[in-house]
Parts: sequence; C-alpha cells; structure tokens
Amino acid sequence: MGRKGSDKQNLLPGTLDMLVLKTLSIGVMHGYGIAQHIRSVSGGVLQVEEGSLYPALQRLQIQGLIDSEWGHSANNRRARYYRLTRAGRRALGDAESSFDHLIAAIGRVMRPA
Amino acid sequence: MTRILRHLTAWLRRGRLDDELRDEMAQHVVWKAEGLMAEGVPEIEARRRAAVEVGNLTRVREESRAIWGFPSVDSLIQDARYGWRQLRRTPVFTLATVTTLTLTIGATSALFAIANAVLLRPLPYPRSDRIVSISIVQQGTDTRLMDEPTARLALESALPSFESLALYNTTGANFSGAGQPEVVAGVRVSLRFFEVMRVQPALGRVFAPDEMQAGGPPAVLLSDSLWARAFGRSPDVLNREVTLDDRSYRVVGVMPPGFGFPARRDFWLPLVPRSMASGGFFYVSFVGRLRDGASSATGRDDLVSLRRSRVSALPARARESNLRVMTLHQRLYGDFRAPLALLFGAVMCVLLIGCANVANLLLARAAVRRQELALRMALGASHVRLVRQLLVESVLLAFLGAVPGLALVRYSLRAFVRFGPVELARIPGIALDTHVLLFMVGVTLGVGLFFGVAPAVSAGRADPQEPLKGAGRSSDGGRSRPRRILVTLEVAAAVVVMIGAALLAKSLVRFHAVDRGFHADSVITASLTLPRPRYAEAAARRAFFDAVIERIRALPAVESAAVPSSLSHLVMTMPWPPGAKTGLPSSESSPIGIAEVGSANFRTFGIPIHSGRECGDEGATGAGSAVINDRMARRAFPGRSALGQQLNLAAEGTFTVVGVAADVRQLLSNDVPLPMVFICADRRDAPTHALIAVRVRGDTDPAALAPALREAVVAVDPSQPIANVTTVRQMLDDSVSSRRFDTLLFGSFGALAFALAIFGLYGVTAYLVAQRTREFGLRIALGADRATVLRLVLRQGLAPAASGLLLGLLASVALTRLLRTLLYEVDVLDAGVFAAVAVTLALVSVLAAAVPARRAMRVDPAVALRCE
Repeated sequence: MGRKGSDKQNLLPGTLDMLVLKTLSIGVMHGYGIAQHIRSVSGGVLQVEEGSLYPALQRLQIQGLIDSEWGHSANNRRARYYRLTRAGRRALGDAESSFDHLIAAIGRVMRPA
Repeated sequence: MTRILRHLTAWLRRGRLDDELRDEMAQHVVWKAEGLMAEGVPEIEARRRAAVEVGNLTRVREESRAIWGFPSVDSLIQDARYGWRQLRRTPVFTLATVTTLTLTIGATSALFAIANAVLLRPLPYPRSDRIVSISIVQQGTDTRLMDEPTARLALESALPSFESLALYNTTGANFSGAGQPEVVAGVRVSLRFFEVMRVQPALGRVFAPDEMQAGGPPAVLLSDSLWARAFGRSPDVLNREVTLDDRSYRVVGVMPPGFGFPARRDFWLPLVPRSMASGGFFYVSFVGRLRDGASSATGRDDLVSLRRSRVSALPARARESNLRVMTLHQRLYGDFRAPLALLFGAVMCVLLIGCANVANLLLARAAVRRQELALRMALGASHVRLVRQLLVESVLLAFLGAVPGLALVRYSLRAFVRFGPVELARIPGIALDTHVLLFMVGVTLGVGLFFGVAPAVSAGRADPQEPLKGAGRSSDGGRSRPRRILVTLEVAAAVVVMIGAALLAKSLVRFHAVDRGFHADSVITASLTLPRPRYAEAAARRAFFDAVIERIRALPAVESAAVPSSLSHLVMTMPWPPGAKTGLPSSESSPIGIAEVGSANFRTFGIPIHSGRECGDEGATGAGSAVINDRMARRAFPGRSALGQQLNLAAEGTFTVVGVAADVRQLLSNDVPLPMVFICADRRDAPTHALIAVRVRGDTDPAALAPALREAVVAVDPSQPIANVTTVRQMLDDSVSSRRFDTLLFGSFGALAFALAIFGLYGVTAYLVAQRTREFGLRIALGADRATVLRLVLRQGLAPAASGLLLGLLASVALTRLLRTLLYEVDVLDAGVFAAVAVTLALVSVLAAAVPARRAMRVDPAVALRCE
C-alpha cells in the first residue's frame, strides 16, 4: 500500500490496463520496468501500486492480451518479461480511440470554446 | 472458449503460478530497493521502504488466485474441507446419519436397478417399441395367444399398419449333434420372424424361402449358447448336421449372443405353414412390427376389419373373440409393473423417513452450532456463504452415506439374481450400471439438498447477536416445531409402509395355508418327449411307457406312479371355448378344464375320489371313460349321481363318467377350481409328450428319487433324456416366489421405516429433554412433582407420534387399495392388520419417548441449574 502524496495521482478505474498495454507496445518489459516507465513518463504523477499492477498483469494474461516468459535482466537476474499479443494490440487500439473520445469530450465540457 | 481453457489451465497450474508470482515480486522489491539506494537512501532503510511500498504480498497473491481460477469452486472445496472437519468432530452424529443414508439410498438404488432393467430399459431389438404382440381375449382373460386362422390370413394380406408380421410356436427337442444329448427349448418361426425382430444371425443366414415350405430341406438356427455348449464356438458349425428328436437338420446360422427370444431359446426351426383347409383350430403366438405412424390401436383396427371383410375364410370361432394388441415389452414385463411400482413407492417412503431423520439431526446440531455460525457471521461471513456452507455439509454427508450404499446395491443385486423370484431374476442386465450410478448420484444430491435446506435456511436467518450473548441454551420452544412436524410425517409414512407389508404378509400366510385339495408333498415329476420318427407308432410309445412305469413301480421307495400323467389340471386350465356341447344346457358357456390322465393319477397326486373309481388301465375297447370333479358333477348332473352318465365333449368325443374326484385348486393362481373332466388315457394311444409323476413312500425325500427316474428311462431307451425333474413342493415354492419376494421386500422396507421413525421420535424427545434440562431442574427445585415432569415430556414427545399415527392410518385407508391385485383373500382394509400396526407403533413409541422422559424426571436440580 503505497503512500499517496498530493502530487501523486491515483488512477482512474480501468485506466491501469490501458497504461500497461500502452507501455508494453514499446517493447518487452518486466513488472518493475512497467511501473518505472509509467512513473517516469508521467513525470512521477502516476503512481502504479504493485498491489494493483500484479493482479492486473494476471488478468490481462488470462484475457490473452499479454503473454509472458521468464528471462534474464541486464544485470543477469531472473525476471518475468511481458509482451503484447495480437489481441492485446487490438485492445490497445480500441482503448486509445475511446480514450481520445473521452478526453475530447471532457475537454469540451471543461473549456467551452 | 479459449478463455475458459486459459482459465482452466491457469487454475490447474495455480500452485506453480503462485510460486512464480512470489519470485517475481521478490525481484521487484529488490529492484525497488536498489532504485532507492541509487537515490542515496541507506540500504536497510531502502529495503524497508521498498517492502512497505510494494505492500501485502499475500493479498496480491490472493487476488491473483481469484483471477486464475474459479473462486466459487475453490471456496466450495474449502467448504467441503471445513464440513469434513465438522463431521469428524461429531462421530456419533455422523455415524447415525451415514448409516441411515446408506440404508435408504442403497435400498432405493437397488430397487431402481431392478425397475430399470425390467420396466425402463427397451428390449434388445432395434426400434423395439414398434414390436407388438397380438392376442385374443376369451371370457375376459387374455390368452396371450392368437387364433391361427386369423394370424395366417393376416400374414397373407397387406395390412397398412404393419411392416411385417410373424407367428411362432415354442417347442422343445432332444438335441444331439456333438457330445451329451440334452433337452433343449426352441421355437418354430414363420418366414418374416427375424424381420419383425430385426435381428440377423451372427454367423450364416436366416431360413431361405424353400426351407419354409412343407417338404423343404430341414434347416435349423442355433443360439449362441447352444453353439458354445455343443460346438465350442467352432465356426465350421455351418452346414453341419445336428439331430433334433432323431431327425437331422442342417445348421444354417447362429444367432448373436443374448438373443433367445421369446425366453432363453436354443434353436429356431421354420414354422411350416399348415393348410387352411385342414380345418383345425389352433393357437399361436403372434407378433408384428408397426410401421412408422401406426399404433397398437390402428393395428388392431386393421385386424378387426380384416376379419370382417374375410368372414367366409374364417371359422366361426375366429369371428367371436376380442383382439388385443400391446407392445411386446408390455406383454413380457407388464405383469411386473404394478408390484415394482408399489415397491418403489414403499422405498421412497423409507427414503423420505430417512431424510426427515437426518434433517432432524441436522436441526439439532444447528441449534448447537448457533454460536459458531453467529461468530462467523459477526466476523463478516455473508448469509449466503453460511447457508452454502451448511448445504455443502449436508451434501457431503449424503455422499458419505452413498458410498457404502454402492456396496449395498452391488451385493443386494447379486443376491437378487440368485434368490429373487425366477421370472424377474432371469431378466438380463440387472446390474450396477451407469444408469443406476447416475440415479444414485442424483438421489444423493437431491437427498443432501432436501434434508439440508431446512436447517440451512433457519441458520441463515439467525440473528448473530442473540446466541453470542449466551441466550442460546434457555427455553427454545418455538424452534422445535419443524422437528415435530418432521416426526409426524415420518411416523405417518412408516404406518403406511408397515400396513402394506402386514397386508402382504397376511396374504402370503393365507396363500400357503389354503387347502388345495391334494397332498403332493412327496411327489416328484419329470417330463419327456418321445421323438416322432422312432416312436411314430402309438404301440411303440405305449410299449415304452409300460416298460418305464414297470421299472419305476418296482423301486422300493415308490408308492405309486402315473405315466403318462398330467399336471395341466393342477397348473392351468384353458377355458373351454363357448358353445361346445358339454352336456350342459346349450346356453351354458362357462369355462371347464380338460386333462388326459393315465392310471393311478389321483392316487399319486393325493386327490380323493368321492365316488366311483379313478382311471385304471382302461381296456383296449376305446370306449372312453372319464373322471369328473365335484363341481362338474354338480353342474352337469344336478341332483343325480354322475356315475355311469354320458358326457359329450364335442371334438374330444363322448365319455362315460366312472368316478367323481374332489375339487382341486390350481397351483399357480390358487383360484377357485373349475369344473374339470379328466379323460382316462386311451390304452391304444399314447402321447409323444408325457409327464411322469411318482409318489414316494412315507417320509422319503422325493427329490432323492431323481437319479433313479433317469436310470429307469435310460434302461428302456439309452438315448432318451428326461427334463424338468422337480418335486411338486418345489413347484409350489416357485409359484409363490414372486409373492414371497414382494412380501419380503415390503416387509424389510416396513421394518426399516419403523426403526427409522422410532429413532426419529426418540431423537426429538431426547433433544427436547436436553434443551429443557435447566427448566426441569428449576421446576423440580420449585417443588414440581417428578411425575408431572414425566407426563409433560411424554405428552410433548408423543403428540407428534399420535398425530402421525392418525395421519398414517388415514393415508393407508386411501392407499392400500393400490395393493389389491397383490393381496390374496385379505381385504385392503383388514381391521386386524390396521389394529396390529397401530398398537405396535403406539407401544414402541411410548417406550421410545419414555427413555428420555425418565431422564428428565431424574434431573438433579442442583446440576441442572449449574449447567449454564
């Protein structure tokens, strides 16, 4: 249960899966790497809790959106690497377009022209 | 679909996945700590913070486990484990319920196995539901046979309802082909018989048309078992010659294993058509296969209109009888339907009583477990989960009972096949098969849910606060109501089954006690068939019988012997067709029985002769003489002596009455005797098929005479086998075997129902006493009379028994009439039986309630008040 600072945002429900998929679209990554990537790309705003991340990874695997295999990291440590499947790529595309719609809609509400 | 598959593989591999997840997250913590160290955090602090930030590993693993698998299945298994621990903690309770369930589920399933084989399973012929049996009904009795003229006419006509029709006659022969000669049973069948059955030989072919013609090449089909017995299943049996009654036949085929229609037949011969012009009027068995869309009713209509349109082609007698068309299954097994259905009803009552008992025990336990359940509820368990927990426990209990029930079914079926009534036990396929297993699983599940629901629901409704506050053990009057209702129903059901059992038992006693009018306990009989070619001449047959009887009468143990004799007047009498000239007023058309008997027949069977004499060695004159029974004498010659009177029996001829014998009950039906005419066998003729009856002296065992009988026959003709060697006592036993079986089974169900109901009654009263121990102590401490306490408990305990008894008696009045066909000279409302059952049950109930009531009376107030 990570600490929650004022500058750190909790994720909107349902967005974690999308973020994981997007991150994995860059390349193969292990769990720690995914968390790190999301945190650094969001400038430290989005904190991914491990307590949510790992269940999410299991769920995405069962759904067939990602795949995993054991490998060795740069410093030769055993780690599980995740990779996007074809179904995952398709799901990411769907998620992105609906996300864009949502953001645009929120934008129109928040900043009327 | 693939997703379910992924779920399933994940669930199956969940142990491994869990390990992997743990490793993965451990690595995550290491990296995280390293990241913090890189930011300058000291190592120990970095590790601590990393671990804290990653959080509760166990929770992640639990969440993931829910994702991988089927959480409901997992928690069901958990519930079952918990339930198992609960059951082990209360071994007496568990043993009591498991035993109850084993007996009830086992008994129900064993009976189902029998009913399944007899009533539910189709006959082993393709589309067997389309095969019908056609017979005529005379004098209200189904003869099970068809008159041959109509049957032959139907074979020649195209009837729209039937795809094919065939007639057959059962027969028997002395078989010799290879090895030991033996008497085998067979059937003569008409051309399209195998089409009706849709069964083809496993080896060879069916009869060719020319073999079905009179004078055609003699051909025979063998059964699989005869093929195995006589030829060791050698395939070169085809075209071999075998001998049936001294005539040789070519084997053209072997039928598949298990085919022995109509019942365990070993060979099939062509039924060569008899010329219609011969004028004889015979009866045959008649079967047909209905076309799709046709029914028994349309088939019957076809035959009726065929008779009507071809009146001139049929003898007068064939126009009068009523036709009946029923499925072959109904013909073969229809008689077993009613008894089996009744037995099944009885066993269902027993099952219900067992369930009620178990439900009662569970309710009692639920009261004890209220604290545990309340605690779980207070800790956040949902109602649904608790109800499910209790249901899982009761289903688990049911299965614990069902497993030993399997062994019970197995052994009772084995015993049934060996000792059950002959007609039923011989039916193939009475075994613990998949159908029976599925039935058992279904019953067990149903039973588990059925007796589990009441306690589970009442537990789920409970308020968690009350028992936790310790209020649980005080007065609990309202809660015992469902228990009392259950006991009432139990007792009522037990009364019904017990009354049924008692009625059947009384019938059996009556059946045995009835005076049949003959005393044949020391009689042994055997039958033999003389092969036609060798014994074509009546003189040869006569010589054979004379030689045999001389040898038998010479045996020291023999008191008298009759060859040829007839059992037919004892076993069954065909109704005499109406309109025959019997010397009776011509309007008289009641059935009479006719049998042909040799000398010493009445002496041998122990039938008293009331006047005149019995058949002796009638002279060669051929002037027919006959013995009639009392009923016949009163009918035909009322008010005068029958001796010396002439009796005209149409086709049989005219006979002089030489004696009047006592009336004799028929062996099988025990019906009131028919008017009988026993024609004295003509010395100039002798039948080819004959019965040997021998009465032994004093208290010699008649069965011991069997080898001597065989020797006597073989000494006269070494190639002549004898068959059906049996004592009359054995025949009597066999004839009641099905009645005895029904009674025995009903009786055991009655005993079981009785024991379970009493056990339930005892349980409820004991529970009542245990619940109110403190109250009784208080009452006694305050000066209540101990006898008053005793009366109080007895009254409360016996109230459900009394209402159950009343309810049961009322239900029996309504239900026993279903037993009517199984009863013999016992009224369905037999007052003695009703009273005996009521008194027995009342007395034992008082005993069952008195034991706990005495305990209540002896409550020590000091102990009772301290026990809180």
